[in-house]
Amino acid sequence: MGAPMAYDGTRSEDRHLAERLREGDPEALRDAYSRFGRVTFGFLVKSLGDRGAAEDVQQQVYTQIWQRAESYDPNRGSLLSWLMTIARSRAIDHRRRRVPEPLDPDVAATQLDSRAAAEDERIDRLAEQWRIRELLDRLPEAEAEVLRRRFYGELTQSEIAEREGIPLGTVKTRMFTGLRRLRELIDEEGR
Amino acid sequence: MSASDEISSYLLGELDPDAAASFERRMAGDAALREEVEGLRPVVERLSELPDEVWEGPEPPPLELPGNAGAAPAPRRRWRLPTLTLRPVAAVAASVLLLAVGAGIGALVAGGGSGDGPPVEESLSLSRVDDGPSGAHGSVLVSAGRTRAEVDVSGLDPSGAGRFYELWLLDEDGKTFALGSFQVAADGSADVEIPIPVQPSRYRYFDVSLQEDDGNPAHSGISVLRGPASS
Repeated sequence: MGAPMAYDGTRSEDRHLAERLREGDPEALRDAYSRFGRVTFGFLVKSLGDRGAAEDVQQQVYTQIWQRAESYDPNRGSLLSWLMTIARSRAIDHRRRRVPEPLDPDVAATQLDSRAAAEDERIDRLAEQWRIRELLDRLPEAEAEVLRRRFYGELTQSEIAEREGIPLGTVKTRMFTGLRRLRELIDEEGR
Repeated sequence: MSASDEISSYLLGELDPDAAASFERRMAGDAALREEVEGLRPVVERLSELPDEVWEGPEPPPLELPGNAGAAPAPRRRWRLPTLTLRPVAAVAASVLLLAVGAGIGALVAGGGSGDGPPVEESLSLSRVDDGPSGAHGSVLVSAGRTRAEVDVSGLDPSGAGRFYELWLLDEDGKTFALGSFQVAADGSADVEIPIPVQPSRYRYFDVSLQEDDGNPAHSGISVLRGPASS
């Protein structure tokens, strides 16, 4: 086992991107969209269950990022976390607009409370899954590929080696370093 | 096999039973090894739980820059395939409405208003469509800032238990945006205020549907009232 790998400064990239957003640089918004657009959109499609609604809420999310860039503090969390928090809030807002008012408040209030709590939990779980997806995108391609083939393609390491035409030892090394790097990214996001 | 190779093979369940047992004995006596394994285990579990769509990731629509974000033209949105079809009577009504609304809609842009003069409230009529009861009618009063709508309907069937009405923005290609739900009382009327988080002028119609409270967020296909989204 080698020394822990250093995280290569994505937080500083966040600071730079956030600074450009605060300065009103439209290219910064495009860069943010290029980097995070797929993740927020995937999250919104799944959480809203409606691609058309997800497209509109996605637009709301990036409009809000543009308008409220000054409120992002890199010292309090990553840009990804801030962005996913906004996407989560807009998704919940959208879902809640559809909860019908109870006809019988005494009966329905409890049902609505428990339903809302379950819905929030589901959306939180989805947000976490899409956050992991964004972190996977930050891995070196070779490591991301073995993780994809193992966890999405459901291949064993031996099968990956055979299909890729690379030594089994190389696959195992990439698997281990990929998992370890991903753990560091998750830890970094949590700080 | 190196220690790191063994760790990932163990966590992936790819060691044979004897090798796994041997690895666990070593781990029991090696705190650093144990810490490494336990640190990676949740990562493996999280990856194992990722659904296919997360790996695949849908292509996002092109970004529409907010109104004040530079002069570059926003790319045309690529809408989803329609899932809601306008029924024949509604289609006729839609044609009439389109003629009435005219080219003015196209001039409206995201960010608000027609551009000339201060924005004002808009009062828009809702007319019965094929699934609505005869005598159903209503109106939508859109606030000057285009952020809220006061919906006033009458002549509808009471929503009753397990059903509710929903206000939508609707495009002629079937693209919908849910704005909010409401109940209709026994007298067939309702007067509710609903936030509008998107520019209504980006859509053709306000649409009121009758929905089953079955957890399905999509439009039921049962439209009872419809009218233009802007004048």
